[in-house]
Amino acid sequence: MAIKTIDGALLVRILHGALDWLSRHRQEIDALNVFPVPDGDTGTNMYATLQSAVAAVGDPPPEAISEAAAAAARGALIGARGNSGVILSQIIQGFATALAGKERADVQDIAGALAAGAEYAYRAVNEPVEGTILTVVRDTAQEASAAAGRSRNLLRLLVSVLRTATRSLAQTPELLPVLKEAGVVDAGGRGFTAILEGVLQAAVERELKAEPLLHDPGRRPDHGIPPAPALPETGDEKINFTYCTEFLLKGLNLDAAPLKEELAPHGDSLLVVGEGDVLRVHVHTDHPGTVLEAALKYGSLHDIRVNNMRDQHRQAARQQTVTAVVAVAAGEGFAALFNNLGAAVVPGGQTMNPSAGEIAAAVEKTGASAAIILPNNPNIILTARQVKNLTGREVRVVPTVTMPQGVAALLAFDPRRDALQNLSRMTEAAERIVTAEVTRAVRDAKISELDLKEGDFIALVGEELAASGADLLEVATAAAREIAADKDLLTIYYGAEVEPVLAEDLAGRLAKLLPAVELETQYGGQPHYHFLLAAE
Amino acid sequence: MPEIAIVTDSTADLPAETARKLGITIVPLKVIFGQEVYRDGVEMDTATFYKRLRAGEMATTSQPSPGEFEAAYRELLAKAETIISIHISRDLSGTVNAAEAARSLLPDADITVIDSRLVARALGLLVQAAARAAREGKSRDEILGLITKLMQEIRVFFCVDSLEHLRRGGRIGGAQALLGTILNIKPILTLRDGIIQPFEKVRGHRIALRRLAEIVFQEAGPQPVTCLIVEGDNREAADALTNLLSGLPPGSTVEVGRVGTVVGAHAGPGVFGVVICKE
Repeated sequence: MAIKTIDGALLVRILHGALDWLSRHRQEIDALNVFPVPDGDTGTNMYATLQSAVAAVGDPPPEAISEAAAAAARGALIGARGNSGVILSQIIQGFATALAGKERADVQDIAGALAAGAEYAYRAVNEPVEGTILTVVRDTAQEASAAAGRSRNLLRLLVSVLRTATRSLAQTPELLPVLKEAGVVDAGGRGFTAILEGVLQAAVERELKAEPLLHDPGRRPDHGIPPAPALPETGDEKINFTYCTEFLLKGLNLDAAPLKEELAPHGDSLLVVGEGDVLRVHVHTDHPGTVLEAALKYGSLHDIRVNNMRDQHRQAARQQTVTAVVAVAAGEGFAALFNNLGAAVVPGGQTMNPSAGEIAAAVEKTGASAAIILPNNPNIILTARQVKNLTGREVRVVPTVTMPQGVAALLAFDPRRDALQNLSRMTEAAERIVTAEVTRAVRDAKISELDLKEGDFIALVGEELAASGADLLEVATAAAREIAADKDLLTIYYGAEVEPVLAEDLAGRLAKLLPAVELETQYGGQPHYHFLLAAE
Repeated sequence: MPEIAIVTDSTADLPAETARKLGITIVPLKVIFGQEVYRDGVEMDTATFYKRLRAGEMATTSQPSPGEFEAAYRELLAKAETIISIHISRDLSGTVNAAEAARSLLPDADITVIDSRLVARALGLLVQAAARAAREGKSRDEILGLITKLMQEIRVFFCVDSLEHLRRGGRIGGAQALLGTILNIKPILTLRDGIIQPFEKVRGHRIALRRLAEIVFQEAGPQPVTCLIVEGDNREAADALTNLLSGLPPGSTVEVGRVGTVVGAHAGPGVFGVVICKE
């Protein structure tokens, strides 16, 4: 497979591929965004910019690559949003400028155009910062020129620039400490590699699949979901100026340089790009009015956008935890459940009580300033209360005696409230749950005036015996009827020793016997207890 | 025709008949399936709409353009001196920006554009109250005062079948959307500060209905309330809620309304909820 030259039509097809691929990765890129302002919109802004570029080309596309590229560049300039969008528009602008007058472009032309794109991108930014999209673009352009010397096949060039871009992206946390702190790669750089990925795929006309065909360095390998950027705890410290101010300036024979000079003292992240009759301006400032007024001397203002970045940042920061929940749980099903609901899990239960030290270590590991502990067993409550002596953090204990109570308590947890408020909400929620524990009697005994034989199944509600007998399903059914008769929801958590079909059998029986109760069957994987039944 | 005209957008989910009777002008947003664009509440009925959503189609939405608002305002200004234009929360849609842009194109006209911080029938309730006040001959300032007061009092609580639609539309954060896929968790959501926020997590459909009813009783206290039950293709939940709310203080009203296409595109089919306002 080889592509020797690109014309207008192929360029447009490639841009469409890039746009499609970028749109699939938009939210992931948004989530990476910590620099220069952690407002979580890089992917969206780059997408909007590229979309505007693609839309401007028109249909059918011009035959000459120069015309298609020039139209895209103008579209990108008009539609550019955000810092990364403006930089992207400049990459396209440089690319188009280098291709001026060409009908078709070969490897040398494309390498030259990428170099011009990188140059324009650097020129657009007042104080270029390494470890951002700028670095990735420059590395990419250098590799393109090397690759152009090796082969005349554009596909080969695309493959090697993508490999370089990916490597360069993976290096961004080494160059920019704020990325390293947050454990992410640069969002703009990731957006650029996503565009290259889309370009390559469109070029080989491979059908886009939802799964990435390529290694995806923006994701951590151990998570299915993209990592949320860790935002600085004190919130506003990374934001030097409050208002992100963007607009288009239209006039005659506009020149970016004098305006850039005039605006520089008013803020940072300043970008003034374009030439001729349209300039795009982007600046972070405390005085958007002054900026607009200054620009007005040069021409008319359009598409003005002013955003309060502190608001945007606060909105994102609000989701950071200050209070964590630590749950003691036995069984892989319960451990996964507590985890998925946002709690840290300490393994332990009936016959393997964790120490206060183990729980304290889990509390420390959350990094939160306050922790709420769910002991989920009567024998662990006292241990949990000791934890506050072992850590400097605020520690509260919701005295849950069963794991289903712990689940209910965890659902009532509201991260926006402080630990004390949560303590009362969670305790109330736990108290609404009635749990029956179905297990096997380990010796002959007498409970609640009933004789039990070793090996019999018994159902306990608190200290009380709710049912007993030789048949597991009958005992569980009787217990469920006792606790759930006037309730809305019964959850069947089945244990490690129980086959799923048996749990389904039980659910089937109960559905007939308790038609007014919603049933939910869940694998708990707990040892000792065949079933934990929870009614609420 | 009163001298004060009331304008809203289609996310207020006001039935056409109600709007006509009260003389309310509705500027429609658009609901989009792929390349097909429909004006909300005008060009696609909710039955067809929810059927397509349930069949797995994705709908997106778009706000009216400033030009559409300008046209609506110009037409009204031929008859009315003053316009009060009340819209969906700015944090949920850019509609109010478009309305403000249109107002700036008509610098000599007396147009007040209001970001209601609300949406759906909660916005509808506000708009209806404003329109009634306008019909009674209240002044502009009196109506604006009423609106400000009601904006503080109207409460909205709702449940969605799946948080997926809200997440995809960017109306809630990604982390929230993970819930609801395990243990049959039904998050109860509310509108606060103009945005959708989690209120409480409960498990199971029945408990969710019961909890919504409890919230209404709590909000009402001993006072009569206006309660609107809203549903997006979930008549069953609306009926169950109507039953649960039969014991509200005397003088209370309970009505059922349907969630329109634009709001439905973000809430997803199966949504149900309550809008409450003290009398």
